[in-house]
Amino acid sequence: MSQLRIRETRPVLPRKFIALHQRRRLIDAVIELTVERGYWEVTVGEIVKRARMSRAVFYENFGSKEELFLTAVDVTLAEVAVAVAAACKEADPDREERVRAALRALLALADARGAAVRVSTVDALAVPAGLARYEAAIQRYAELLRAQAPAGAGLPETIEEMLVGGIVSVICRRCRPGRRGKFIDLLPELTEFAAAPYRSALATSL
Amino acid sequence: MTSRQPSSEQPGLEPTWDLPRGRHGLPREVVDGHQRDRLILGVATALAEHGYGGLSVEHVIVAAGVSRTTFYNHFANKEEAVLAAHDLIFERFLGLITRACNAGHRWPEKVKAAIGAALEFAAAEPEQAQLLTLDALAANVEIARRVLDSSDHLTALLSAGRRHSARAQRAQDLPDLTEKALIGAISATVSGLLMSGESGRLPELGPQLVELTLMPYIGAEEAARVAEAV
Repeated sequence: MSQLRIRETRPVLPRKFIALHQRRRLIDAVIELTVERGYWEVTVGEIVKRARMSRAVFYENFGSKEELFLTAVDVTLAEVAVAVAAACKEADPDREERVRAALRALLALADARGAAVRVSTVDALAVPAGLARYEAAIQRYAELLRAQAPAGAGLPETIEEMLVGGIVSVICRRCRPGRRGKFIDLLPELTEFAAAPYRSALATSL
Repeated sequence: MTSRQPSSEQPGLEPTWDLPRGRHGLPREVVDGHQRDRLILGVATALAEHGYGGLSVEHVIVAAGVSRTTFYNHFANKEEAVLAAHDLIFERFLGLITRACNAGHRWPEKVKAAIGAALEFAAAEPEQAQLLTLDALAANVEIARRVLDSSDHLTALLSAGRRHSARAQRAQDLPDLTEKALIGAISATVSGLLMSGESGRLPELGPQLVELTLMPYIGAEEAARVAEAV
């Protein structure tokens, strides 16, 4: 009985696997090419060449270059969200430790997938739908930071948006071609940047 | 057109101004030429409307009110035109910031005046301001490089002020990337409002940005005081 089921499903699994694999290759190709040349310069022809597959296969998976590009942004932002959420969950309840853990997860991912992170922070802004994703992500992380904020610090209302904007822009700069050095090395300084205003404000109000 | 001062007469955050190196020492011919100025303003207008991907030479010449021949007398293609527009607009912006700094007395007031001038510029000329912020980073690789180089000049301007901060000893110990993160925070905040078409809200963010920027150097209490002072 169970053997029969395996036989029935066997042809289906590889096809799904191949489709996923094809999508992954196309996503990797659009990320690589975008970092090399910028979103607007890249064509579907170049993408399929880099991914070593046919144009027909491309259009079986995605309707357009923009659709593929936005999928690449979504996949990357989801990876960041999962990594950051897991890190926050495991971290000490201490506020600064949580911020440090979230940043560590973000920077580690940037080290592993620098091009993808660059595409989802800088290049995403090339198209309106990418901009909307970027803004939603900034807002999400600002809320996360705000949830960690100590009560009664009396800081400006939009400080979390500003801090997250600052952190993202530091990461964007590091994604410049030719820049060397590991993202994770920024951890102490970025943690200090994100934590210092609260510490300073609490010291004042005591 | 406003007349520009030569770079050598822009003292910046006196007295520790590091002269901008590299690309912003624009050749004379860039700053002369009425047509070129019109073209550059046309680039900013057309870019804000169509985005880099949708931008064509046609859009630029219509916005600038010049002929196609005039365009090609000045620029080989749209990328060159956008780069020239970025450079000229940034040079003017830097002039505004520098004059604002010179008007302030103490260092915290200079920073406050500079942020005020930057927000005023962005509110008055949102299309031009967009060419200096995050938005332009996505255009292409070369333009992104130019925008980040410009941002480095602003970072240098702010870090030159460390020795003027009220807590000089502490300021020397601040993380190296403090200024990058602060300039990035200001730029991201401004470009967020520009991109969502809310440039009218820029002035109200002034005190918050001033407070955030000054806090590492002079502490939360003093930063809030300077930010709120009229």
